[in-house]
Amino acid sequence: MKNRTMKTEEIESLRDALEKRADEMVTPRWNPNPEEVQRSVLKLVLTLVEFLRKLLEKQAIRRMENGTLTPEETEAVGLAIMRIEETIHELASRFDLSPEDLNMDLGPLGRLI
Amino acid sequence: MPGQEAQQIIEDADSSLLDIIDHVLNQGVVLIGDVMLGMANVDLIYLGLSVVLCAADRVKPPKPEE
Amino acid sequence: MLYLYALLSREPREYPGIGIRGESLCVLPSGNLFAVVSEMTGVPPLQEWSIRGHERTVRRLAESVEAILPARFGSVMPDEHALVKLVESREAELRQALALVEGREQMTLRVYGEGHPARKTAVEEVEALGPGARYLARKMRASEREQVIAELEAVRPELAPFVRAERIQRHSTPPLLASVYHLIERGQSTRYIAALEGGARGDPPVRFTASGPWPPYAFARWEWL
Repeated sequence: MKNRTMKTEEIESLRDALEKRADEMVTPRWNPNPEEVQRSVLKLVLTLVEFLRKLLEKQAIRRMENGTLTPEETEAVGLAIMRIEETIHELASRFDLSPEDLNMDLGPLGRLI
Repeated sequence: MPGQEAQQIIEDADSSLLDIIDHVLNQGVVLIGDVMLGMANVDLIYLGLSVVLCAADRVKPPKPEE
Repeated sequence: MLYLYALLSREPREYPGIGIRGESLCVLPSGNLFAVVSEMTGVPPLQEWSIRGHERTVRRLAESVEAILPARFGSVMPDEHALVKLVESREAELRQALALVEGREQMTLRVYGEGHPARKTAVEEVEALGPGARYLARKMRASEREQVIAELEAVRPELAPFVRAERIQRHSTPPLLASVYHLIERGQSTRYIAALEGGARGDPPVRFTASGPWPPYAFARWEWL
């Protein structure tokens, strides 16, 4: 993955993907089940957090490959990201969400993640 | 020693021999783990093969329009 | 001892020919499959003549059967009993591999391009640092496996009609990015090459070298299925 900033189109693409995901989670007004609402909100939040975690992971790997992380930093960053992932998995399984549920179809942005 | 012999063969090889080496040494059915060559030597051969396949004269420029 | 050249699903139509040292070949029933072997008093040395001899033997065999799994060079077993036992223990995977290669042959592509800059830190060094570092190393390996080879994807539409199966070996020696092995129907190699040349003329032009057809060496690694 080349080291570059996100282009406008890619940010647009991300926003579209998030809007689409948010739309999918609108519960029918005639029967709002509080638990389903809770689950939908959590799904959106975890999807965002997982997206950010993947970005952090890619960045850490890139720095690791370039040798710009000290051994202590490598271990610390790795542990931090690992713990985020564990938390995501734990919360997801508590609400019966699978890894696929947390994956976003980002279109042209997909190859960055 | 198999590693050294193999390295010499690879260095002297033309591109068709390199293809043959790749196929018969890196691929093919492996029924038993440690064949004559030993896994470590096969990996060495593999590395040698990669380096030589890469040598400048083997990388053809894009074909001109016909 | 027995030297193994190939595994077959059926007996060859013709006499199987001679081996590396000009010795007679023998078709040995092994479970429900057949092993093509020869008697040798010693393991053949690793030299150009023996490597070429193995390839030639396998190629001639391949012409007289529909499905063949070439053996890797240097596979020797103490006796028939040991060989048959080994083949029988892997029969399911071997049958699957033979079914895949039936009526087919292999094209070998080398893909050249810019690729990614070489890693400055060895994975092994990183893994020794602790669980956090090992976590990152694991993710790094996983992402490497997932990375498409852009240059290959550029020609994939042209090649797709011919490709029945694919194996990829990535290299870490730019500009050689990967070796790609394609299984195609027998007799299609000329059209495959024409399609490859058509696809590679795009912008920017992609660099490949292609050779073949070969017997299906890359698809004989049943554990890669």
